[in-house]
Order: sequence, then C-alpha cells, then structure tokens
Amino acid sequence: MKKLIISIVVAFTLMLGLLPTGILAATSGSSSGSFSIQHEIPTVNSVALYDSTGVTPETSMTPLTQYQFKVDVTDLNSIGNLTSLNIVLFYLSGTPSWPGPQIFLTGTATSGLLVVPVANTSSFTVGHPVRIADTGGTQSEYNTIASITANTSLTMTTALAHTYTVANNAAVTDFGNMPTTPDSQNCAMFSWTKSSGVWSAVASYPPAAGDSGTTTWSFLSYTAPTDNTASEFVFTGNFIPGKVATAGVGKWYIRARVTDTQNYDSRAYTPAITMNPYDEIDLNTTTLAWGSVVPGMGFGTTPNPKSVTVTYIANGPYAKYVSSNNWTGYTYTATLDGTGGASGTNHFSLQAAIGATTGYVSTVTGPNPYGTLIDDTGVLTYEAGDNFSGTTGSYLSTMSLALNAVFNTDTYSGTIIYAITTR
Amino acid sequence: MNWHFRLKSVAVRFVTLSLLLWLVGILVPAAVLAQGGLAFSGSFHNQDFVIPQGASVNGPGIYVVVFNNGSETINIRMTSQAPPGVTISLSDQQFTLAPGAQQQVLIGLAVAVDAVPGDYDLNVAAQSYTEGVSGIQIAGAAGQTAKLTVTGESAKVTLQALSPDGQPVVAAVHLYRVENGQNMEVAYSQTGTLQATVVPGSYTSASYIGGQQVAEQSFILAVNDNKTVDLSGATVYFASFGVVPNYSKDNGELAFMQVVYTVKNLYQQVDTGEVLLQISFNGTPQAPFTLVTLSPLAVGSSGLNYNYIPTGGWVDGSYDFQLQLNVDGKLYTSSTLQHLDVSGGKVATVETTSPTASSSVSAASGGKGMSPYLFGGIIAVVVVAGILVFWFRRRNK
Repeated sequence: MKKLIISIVVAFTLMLGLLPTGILAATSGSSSGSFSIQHEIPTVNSVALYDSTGVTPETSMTPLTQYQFKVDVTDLNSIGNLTSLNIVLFYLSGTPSWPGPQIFLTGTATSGLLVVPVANTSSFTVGHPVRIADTGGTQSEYNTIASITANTSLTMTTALAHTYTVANNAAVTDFGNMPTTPDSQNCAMFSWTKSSGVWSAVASYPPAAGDSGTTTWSFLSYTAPTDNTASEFVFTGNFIPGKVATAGVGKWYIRARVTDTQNYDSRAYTPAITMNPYDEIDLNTTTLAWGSVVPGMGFGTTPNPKSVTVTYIANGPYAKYVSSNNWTGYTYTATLDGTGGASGTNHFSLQAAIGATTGYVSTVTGPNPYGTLIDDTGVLTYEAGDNFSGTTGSYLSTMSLALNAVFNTDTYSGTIIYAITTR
Repeated sequence: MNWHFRLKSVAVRFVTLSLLLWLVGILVPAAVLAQGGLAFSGSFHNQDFVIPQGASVNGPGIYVVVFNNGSETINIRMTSQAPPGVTISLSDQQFTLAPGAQQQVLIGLAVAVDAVPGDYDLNVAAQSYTEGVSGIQIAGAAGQTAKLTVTGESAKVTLQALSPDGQPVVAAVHLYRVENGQNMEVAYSQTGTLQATVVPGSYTSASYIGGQQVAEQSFILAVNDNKTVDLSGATVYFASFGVVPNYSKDNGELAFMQVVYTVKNLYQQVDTGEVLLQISFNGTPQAPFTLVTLSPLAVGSSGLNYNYIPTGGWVDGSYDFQLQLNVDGKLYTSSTLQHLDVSGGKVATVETTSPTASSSVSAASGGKGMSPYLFGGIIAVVVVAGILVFWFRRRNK
C-alpha cells in the first residue's frame, strides 16, 4: 500500500510538471528588486476639432470664431516622458497623400532590422504606430519599405481602401505638401514644450509674405499636463482662425505630433475640415455729397466722380456689387434708373467704378439680389485686404451721379449699398 | 419755346441747384456710421441642398455669421431670397451688433408640397443700416448664395441612439447626406431619436455624447424607403490600453508586465464597473481575473495600471492580454488585444490588434486546439494508470 501511495504522489507530481507553469493561475501584481522599464513609443490616440466648449465636434470652421482642438495622447511610460506636442493646422492645396499608419521598426545593430508583420497591419488604427519591440539595448528607428492596407474599421474614413507605401529610405513623416512655415492664409502652428517638468505652449500664424496687415488668428488658452505620472492626457487648445484662412471644402487638416525623451514620435490627423468662406467690406466713406449740380448733369460732369474708399477682405473668391434704391425727398421721390440713362422726369442714375470695372447701379429687386455686379474676379486677399480709394489708377473707386433734365427741387435722402459676396 | 417757359425752366434748375448745394451743407461727414467692417461667413454657401417636395432641412450646421469689425455699433437687417414654394427661415431677422461682436443666424429651409422641382439659387444677406439720418448714406452688405434642388422623390428615415444592450440613450444625433465625399447636414436632434423625410441617396449618421462620437452608420435610401437605423455604441469604453515590459536590473530578464489602461465613461454613472484581465498563453485563454472594481463607475476618465507576473515566472511563448469591462455584472465591452512574444526572458514583439481579432482568438481557444491543462491531465492519467497496472501485476505475481 505504501508503494501505491508513493506511486500516486509521483504521478501527480509528474502531472503538475507537465502543466504550463507560466500561467497556471491568476497571478500576482507585485515584484521586488530594481527594474528598468522598456521605453514605449508615445501614441496620439486622436486629434479632433470641437466648438469652443469642447463639447460639440466640428467638421468645419468659420473665421473669427473660437474653436478647440483636442489631442488625446498616451505614453505607457507616463506623460512625463513626453517632451513636446506640435499641432499644425493647415490648408492643403492639392490632393492629400495620406501617410497612413505609422511604422516604427526597432532593433539594434546586433539584432538587425526586424520585419513588419504586414499580415497584421489590417487591424491597426490610423495614428497608432506599428511597434516592433526591441530585443534589448537602445531602440532605433529605421526606414524601410512597407505597404499597409487600411481595413474598414478605421476611423479616418477618407483613408479607406487606400494602400500606403513608404518609399525606401524615406522617413515616415507628414503629408508631402503640408506647409512647413506658418502664415495666416495657410498654416497655424501650436507648440507645447516641457521645461523642468512644466509645460507651456505658443502659437505662430504671421501674415503672409508681403501682407502689410496684422494677423487675425488668436491662441486663447490651452491645457497641459500637471500630473506627469499619468499615462494619458488630453491636450486642448482654444483658438480663432483668422479672416484670410483660405476657404475650402475639406481642405484643412490638423496634424498632432508628440515626441518623447528618446525622440520617438507619433502623429495623427483629423479627417478633412472645411473652412467656410469669409467676406468683409470696410467702407471708410459713409456719406456722399456732389456739391453744385444741375438737372441734366451727366456722369462726366463736374463734380463727378466722387471718391468712395472701400476695402474688401476675403478668404477666397469674392464678388463686388453696388445697389441703391429710389431716393425720397420731402415732397418728391427721385427714381433710380438702373440703365444709366436717367431717362424720365425726376429720374437719376449712378455709375460705380471699382478698380478697372464700372457699372450702372441698380436696385436689389430683380434677378440679382445684390444689385449691380461690378466685379467678380476677387480672390483670396491679404489680411490688409484689397483697398480701393481715389479717382485714378488701379485703386480707383468712385461713384458718379446723373440727373434727368427735369428734376424736382427737393432734399433727397437715400442709400447706396456696397456689397461683397462669396462666389 | 416762349420766354415765359424758358424763365420757368431756368428757375427750376436754379432752385434745384440751390437745394442740392444746401443738401451738401447739411451732410456732416464727421458722422461716422460704422458701416465699415461688416463681415459675413458661415456654412450656407457650401450647402448643396437637395430637398423633396413637402420636406424641410435644418440643423446647427447650417448657418451664417455676421460680424461687426468696425468701431461703432451697427444695425443689421437680414434678407433672403428663394423661389416660389421655398421658405427660408432665419433665427434672427434684425439685430444690433456692438463693435467686435458677431451673431450666428441659423438657417432652415422648407419646401412646399407644390414647389416645382428644379434647380434654384438661394440667397441670404446681411445689410447694415442707420435710422433717422438724412442725406445719401453709404452702407455695407454681404451675402452668400447656395444651391437648391427640389425633387419629387423622397424616403423616410428614423435614427435612434441605443446602448449596446438596446436601451435608448439621450444623445446628439446628426443625419448627413453624402455628396461628393462631403457630409451635408440634413437633420439634427438632441433627444437621441430623429425622423426625417429626405431625398433618396447616400447618408451617414452619427450619435454623440459629451462631444464623443459613440456610433456611426452609413446607409443608402431608395425611393419610398422607410428605414430605421440604430446607432448603437458603448458609452463606457477603454480609452487606452497597453502593456509595458519591465526588466530586472539584476539579470536583464523580463520581470513583470505593466498593464496600463484608461476607462472612460461618457454617459452616466453606473453602480459597478469591473475590469478583468484576460490572458491567453499560446492561444489558450486563462480564467479572467479582476483588476479593479469601480463602485460606482462615475462619468469621466480613470487611469489605472497593474503589474502582472505569472506565478511560475515567464515562459517562452506568446501571450495575449485583453481587458474586459463588466457593467453591473454583465460584459459590456472589451479592449484591443495586446499580443507579445516572450523569448529568452525578453519580449520579442508587441502588437496591437482590434477587438475583432481578439474575439477570433477566443473563438479559437474555445473550440479548437488542445488545452495545455487537458493535455497535461491526459498524460497524468496515462502515467497513473500505468503505475496502477504495474502495481497490480506485481501484486498478482
């Protein structure tokens, strides 16, 4: 019997030995000794545009309106391991060449280059780096040839069904045509940096080269980590896009790039954002007076033309219109003749000239709700705008009056409307 | 022409001249009317409305904004122009803007049942004006034009925001018509449900809670369709999840894996949220165990971590880590799956895969292959049986 017991004990001992000892049971959560934590590449989980409160997601921006971007960053080593966050809010003039998911190949000189498991890439999310862990020693980043096919679960829907190829020896970086310098028409840059554990942020969006105006972009507030031991932080920045941030449907993007102490980085992009059209008209002339005029006067009669100082500011194609209406007197009504002929008793006509173009001012009734189209060639302006003032030259801006030969004596009041519209 | 008529004509001209000169005298240029700096923006111009007869379109994404960038307060009058049978509604018709102020004006469109199908232009404009001023004033105006197509065909759709267990949730629900890759807002609701009559075509819809997108669905509506679309998504989820190898400084070998994760609750506090860690070794899942129980699980983010060490130490092979979240005792959501290969006491590779991939791992482990436990047990039974046979044979001799 004793032998039987010994044999059974031996058998169970053998049985236990055959079990996978590594994960035999739910395991502990503590260890003693000193440890070196593996360096982890930070991850930009998401970058998104919101309204100023950070509550409502936005897919478009209106100039001179406050918005907030949120950048959700994870560093498994802790947020304190990060060194900087760079946000680029930019207009992309051409077709975007999506960089696709980022690829980081790590290895050492002795272990050689590791191969990206392409078969697995279909399950990665854009913005998350494909990470190959180091087998020891200092991690290094390598460029390589890799083709990644995005799967249908990607949140960046515009990236669907695309195949991304990273050229040999080309760094996995930003869009090839992403602006590299800020200017108020195309690109704003926001940078967070950490010094002695304290984060601070600055922004840059100067007027474009040659623009005598001042930027109308603003960087109002931001958040930064105060607990550097956390693994995740949502950076936010409240900003106002300027007047001449180029208008475009689905032409703007926000790129977030986070970098850590080992100079590893991660990038993520928003889907395409629309910048709404912005048009401004600034009239420094607020009243007009012709002085000594007589019935029957023509557009060429002194004191015509009268100067009207007007500035147009637009972030895209725009058109200039001028309209008026009948002028009212104490006793009589002066009727606007939009043909320029001032034909008919007590009829008057107006001729507007802006730049190289002229037109007879009409009422806003009729097929065109803005009156007479003077010019429809306006394009994106500087912050300083397109300025028209004076009676000669390319900056000419005048208004001339013509009266019918029979014109009732009275004091007339009326309005001349200068309009700017998106085209 | 007799002398009498000539005299009358000259007199009229002279009087007119005199009055116009007088008019010049009373026009005081110094009266700045602040018409400069009127600006106009918004999404209206970018809209390409396609609306069936008898339907309407509105939403917070359809608007214009009027700015007063001048130095004086100005009065603004909004105007609009639409074809017969089409009504443009503006949230504000007339208002005053202080210097530096802006006013957003929401725009809605309604197409009458008898509106004539076709393509039209719609105009919305803002004009500054001044009251009680005589003389010839110069005023500013700005506007945008949008395209409208009225159609005779329509479809109906109902959107409803749901939790993963099918319960209605209060959420912002947006319906967009997809046109040339762009989303054109069609309808909007903050109650979690939305009903709309729209033109047939491609649509996308999304629900949001606290600014976070919870669910998204794209679909196609055909003529006379009456479709219900469920926007089902998790309002509690793992915002981040990863495992970080930690090596012993004594021997350089893997000591423990730090499991780092963030639980985010968007919607409402729940009584109990339990996070479990599920580990699979070489494809064989082990019994999940609890990392933390949050009672209650409040709205917001909770960043947590846990150091994992296998009882018997690290063994070469592949490990899969995945978190599960039970809400009030029921499985609610899972994290991505972290896969790592351990070789020679070090982590060779770490990969992240989606929950879909993780579920396939679970399926494989549940129905395919042989469990190491089972394999070890079978061998043990064989060994024990062999010993017993050997013992009975010796006893019978």
